[in-house]
Amino acid sequence: MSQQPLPSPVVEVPREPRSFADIRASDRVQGFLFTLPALLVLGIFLAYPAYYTVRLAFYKGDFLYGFAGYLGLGNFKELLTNDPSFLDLSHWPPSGALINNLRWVIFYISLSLIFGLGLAVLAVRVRYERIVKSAVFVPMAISATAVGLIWLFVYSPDLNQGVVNATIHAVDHGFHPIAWVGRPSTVNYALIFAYVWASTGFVMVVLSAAIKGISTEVIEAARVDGAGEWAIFRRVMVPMLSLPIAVVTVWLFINVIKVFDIIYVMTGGGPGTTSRVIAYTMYEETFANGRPGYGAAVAALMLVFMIPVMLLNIRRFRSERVTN
Amino acid sequence: MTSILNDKYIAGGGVQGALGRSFNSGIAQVFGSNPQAQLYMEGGFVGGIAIGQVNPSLKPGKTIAFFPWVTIDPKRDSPLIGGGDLAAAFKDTPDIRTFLKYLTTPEAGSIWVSTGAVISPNKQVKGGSYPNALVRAEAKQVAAAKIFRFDGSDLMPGALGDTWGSALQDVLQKPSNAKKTMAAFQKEADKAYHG
Repeated sequence: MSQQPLPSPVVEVPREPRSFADIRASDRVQGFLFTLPALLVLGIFLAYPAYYTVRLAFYKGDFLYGFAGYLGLGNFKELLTNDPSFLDLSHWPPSGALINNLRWVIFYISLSLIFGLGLAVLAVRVRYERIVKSAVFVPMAISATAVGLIWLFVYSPDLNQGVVNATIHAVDHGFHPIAWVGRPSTVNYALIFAYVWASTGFVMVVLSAAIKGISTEVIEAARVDGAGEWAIFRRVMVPMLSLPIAVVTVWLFINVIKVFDIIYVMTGGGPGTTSRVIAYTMYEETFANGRPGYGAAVAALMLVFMIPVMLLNIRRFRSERVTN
Repeated sequence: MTSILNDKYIAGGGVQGALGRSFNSGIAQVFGSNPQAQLYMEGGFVGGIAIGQVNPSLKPGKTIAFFPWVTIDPKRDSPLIGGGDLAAAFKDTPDIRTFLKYLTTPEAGSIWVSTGAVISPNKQVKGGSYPNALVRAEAKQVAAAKIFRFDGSDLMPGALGDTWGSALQDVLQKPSNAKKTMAAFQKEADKAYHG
C-alpha cells in the first residue's frame, strides 16, 4: 500500500506590508487612533503655528499678529534687497544678518567638529580621560545666558577683567587692549568662539562614544599593516565615524541657524547691527520693532534654510532602517 | 560731540570699548562699585537705574549727583530736553473723565513720583514726595528751566528707534562719515513716516 506523502503543513508567514493599501482597514483605523494624540499635539503646536507664520509673512500684520495689509512678496523683497542690516551686497565683503549666519555656519560647525573630534581622539589615550571629558562637557550644562556673561568678562578690554587681553598684554607689554565685542571686525568671531566653547563638549561626548564602538581589531590590523597614527586617524577612524559625524553636523547646523540667546546677551546684535543673525533679526523685527509680518518673513526664510537639512536627515534615517 | 566722545576721553577701551558695553555696565563705569570713569552723559532716568539696579549702596547727593550740560551758545542758554508720558482713554464715560482728571492732580502726581523713576510736570507736587535728593533736584531743574523742548524720539515709529541707535553708533565709530550716516537715516525715517 503506497502511502501518499502527507502534505507539508502550510505555515503562513505574515507578509510585511509593502504599502498603505496592503494594511487591513481595521488595522489602519487602529493605527490612526494610536497616532492621533501625537498628530493632534504636532498639529496644534507645530503645523498650525508654522502655517500661520508663513501666511503672516505675506502681510504687514497688526499688533495682535492678525493678517492685516496684504503685501504679497513685499516683505521678502524688502528683506533681501532693501534692508542693509539683513543683507548688504553693495560692498565687499557683503554684510548683514544673513552673511553673519553664513559665517556662523562655516566657523561654528567646523571649529566645534575639529575641537570635539580632536579631544575625543586624544582623550581616549590618556589615563585621566574622565577628568578631561567632564571639564570639556561642563559648559553644556551652563545656560547660554551664563555662557554669554562669562565670555563678556573674558573679552573685556579692562585688563583686570578680560583674560584674553590680559594674557596678550602679559606677553607683549606694548599691546593695547582690544574690545573684542565692540569692534565690528572681531565681534562675530568672538561670539562664534564663545558658542564653540559651549558646544564642543557635546560633539566630544558623541564622537568619543562612537570611537569606543570601533573594534580594536580593525585598528590593530591597520597597525600591523604598517599604518602610522595619523594614517589610522585619517583612513580608519574618520571613515568609520562618518555617520556620527554627520549626525553631529546636522545638530550643529540646526543649532547655528537658530542661534539667538548668546547674541542677545553679549551684544544685542551690535555694535550697530553688525552681529545680528537671522533669528536675532526675527526677534528684533517682531517684538522690538513691532513688525510682525516682516519678522514672520524672516522666520519663513529660516524655515526654508532648515528644510533641506531636515530632508537629508529624514532620508538618512530611512536608509538606516533598510540596512538594519 | 565727537571732539569729546573719542578714544582719548572714553574710559575702559575707548570708542570700541563703549560699543561693546551694555547699557547698565556703561552706568557702572561711573557708579559701580569699581568705577573706571568720572562722568556719564545721560538722561535723568539713569539715576533711578544706577541706584535701583547698578549699585544700591549709592548715596544720592553724596556718591551720585548730576549737573546740567554746559552751555554751548550763550544766546540759546541751556535748553532742557525731556520725554513725557501721555494718558489716553479709549472710551468716554464720566468715570473715566474723573479718573483722568485725578491723574493730573498733585495727589496722583506724588504717588507717581514716589517710584523715583519720573518727575511730575505738576509744580504743586511737593519736593518731599520724591524719594531722594537726586530726583528732587531734577524736578527743580525742569521747573526752573527757561527753555524746555519735548523730545519725541521715544515715539518714532516701528524700527526707526532701533535704526537711530545704530546710526549713532556708526557716527561714534566714523565721525567723518556722519553726514552720510545721517542721510541714510533720513531716508529710513521718510520710509517709516510715509511708507
